[in-house]
Amino acid sequence: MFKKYKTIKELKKLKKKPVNTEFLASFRNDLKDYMSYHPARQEMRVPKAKPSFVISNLRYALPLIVGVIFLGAGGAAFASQGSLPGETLYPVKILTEDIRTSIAASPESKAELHITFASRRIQEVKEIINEKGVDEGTIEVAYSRLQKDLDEVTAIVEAQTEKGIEVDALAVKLDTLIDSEVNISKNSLKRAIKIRKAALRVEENELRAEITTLKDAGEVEKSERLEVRLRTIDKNRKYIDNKEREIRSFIEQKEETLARSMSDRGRAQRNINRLRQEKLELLKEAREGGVQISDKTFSGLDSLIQRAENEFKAKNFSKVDSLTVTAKGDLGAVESTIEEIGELNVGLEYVLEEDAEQDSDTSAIDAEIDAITGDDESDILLDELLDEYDFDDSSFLNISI
Amino acid sequence: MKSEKQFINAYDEYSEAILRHISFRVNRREKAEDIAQDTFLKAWKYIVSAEKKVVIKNMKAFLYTIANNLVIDHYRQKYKQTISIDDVEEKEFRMESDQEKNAERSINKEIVEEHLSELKEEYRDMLVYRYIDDLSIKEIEEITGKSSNNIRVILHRAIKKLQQSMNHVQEI
Repeated sequence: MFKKYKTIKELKKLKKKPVNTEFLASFRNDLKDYMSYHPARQEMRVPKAKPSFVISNLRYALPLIVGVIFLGAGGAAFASQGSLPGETLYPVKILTEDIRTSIAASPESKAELHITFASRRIQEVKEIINEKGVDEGTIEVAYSRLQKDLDEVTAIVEAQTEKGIEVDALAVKLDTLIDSEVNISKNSLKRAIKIRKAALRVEENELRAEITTLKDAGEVEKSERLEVRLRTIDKNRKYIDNKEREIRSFIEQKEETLARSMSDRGRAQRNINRLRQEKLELLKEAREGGVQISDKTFSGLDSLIQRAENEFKAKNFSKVDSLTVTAKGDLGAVESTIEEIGELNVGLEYVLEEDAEQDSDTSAIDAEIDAITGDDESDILLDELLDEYDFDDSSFLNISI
Repeated sequence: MKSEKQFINAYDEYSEAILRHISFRVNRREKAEDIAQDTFLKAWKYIVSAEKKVVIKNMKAFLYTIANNLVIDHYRQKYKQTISIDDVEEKEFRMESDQEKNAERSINKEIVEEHLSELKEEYRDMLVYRYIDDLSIKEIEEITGKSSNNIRVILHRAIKKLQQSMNHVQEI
């Protein structure tokens, strides 16, 4: 005999009725695409539901409790330091950081801590890409924390300005710190992404070859399945590419915000220093990527820097600003070209490594090497790249593979 | 960006429950998935089209309301048609899904699902909202537009009816 409570109990068991999660996952991606084409013009606000407070905090607290039981609080905090987003101890790592920033003695030391933590976030993204590959969910977790950390930094400076405190020195200090700490991580992330992209490209080529074989053999179903995988790989490659750019431009944007809080003199000095340094970094990157650069490559940039220095001596700080903006644009164009050529070279390195490792079916790899090393083709490629950046003065850039 | 992120979070939190909810009310799996898909697209379109800052007090109820309207639309359209290929396919699908039913599912669960699907639409929907989707009476009020007293009465009758039909089978 089914009593009322038992009927309800049975009914509640249907909560576990399985649904097509594959469909939900694939639609999630479609939905994301759709939203990126149709962004919201207005901000949306969803007030947090009240009763979920304890439960949602439990989610964070649980790993901590477990950690405390097994290791003791200090141990848990220590053990958590190497963890990545999505891992059990990660919330503990974040918690210890939050505690450290909240007990920071001065706004200045608080901002410095946030910069250190921002640098950690980038390292995390790098490690995720190295260890787990393109894992969007966890990368987004780290990235949103990074945004939060750097937002805090600029917010601290703004709060000080509002209080009427002179922030020139603070802004310079923090800007330099971001430059040294965050940018180092940023560069190692860039390298990791390059290698991952090359790996994805090789995988893509292998899949393509496999699909052609399957299609020739009339195995439609199998080839379709591989095509789905191909699309995922393509999507992943685009994703990390965009994410790296997004991270870079976000950091740059924050640095610019800080620069606005500096005095005219401080900012002019900083801009010139930054240009010199970026040029050095670029030379280093070109060397790493196997891109040869002639003396003439930077002649345009060097003369711009020289002019900016002269204006600085003459105390025409606004003139320095506009000159450095122009120089920055030029630098960006050279950078993109070096990056693209360098990326092909990294791809080649990767291909060669792979090639040496496994002597099996290499037709796809051979095609890749041909595409990169064939003399005629690399010239065409270089021309295309240069066309794309549309240089007025061709002597400004002189790069050869 | 913030709105997009929040919306995807809402998707992660509720999409499974919404799809399950719809699949109790619409028998064909593909159709249920279509409606689930439309629910989120429609919700996002609503957010995009808003002129002012959008405040969604209860995301869960908001999504269920849209899903509810879409299910109702679906049936309205369906009743307009006479027998169509769709209906034939539906019967076939049901048989198939019966065969595929999860082996680990208890017998009672199957019984309850079968009886649930045979209940009057109004009863079935209310039971799904309350006991499977775990919505509060207030939320159901918001979604269906019915008064809380009315909802309580329907729930009471629905449980009774379900109980009766399940006992009836047991006695046989």
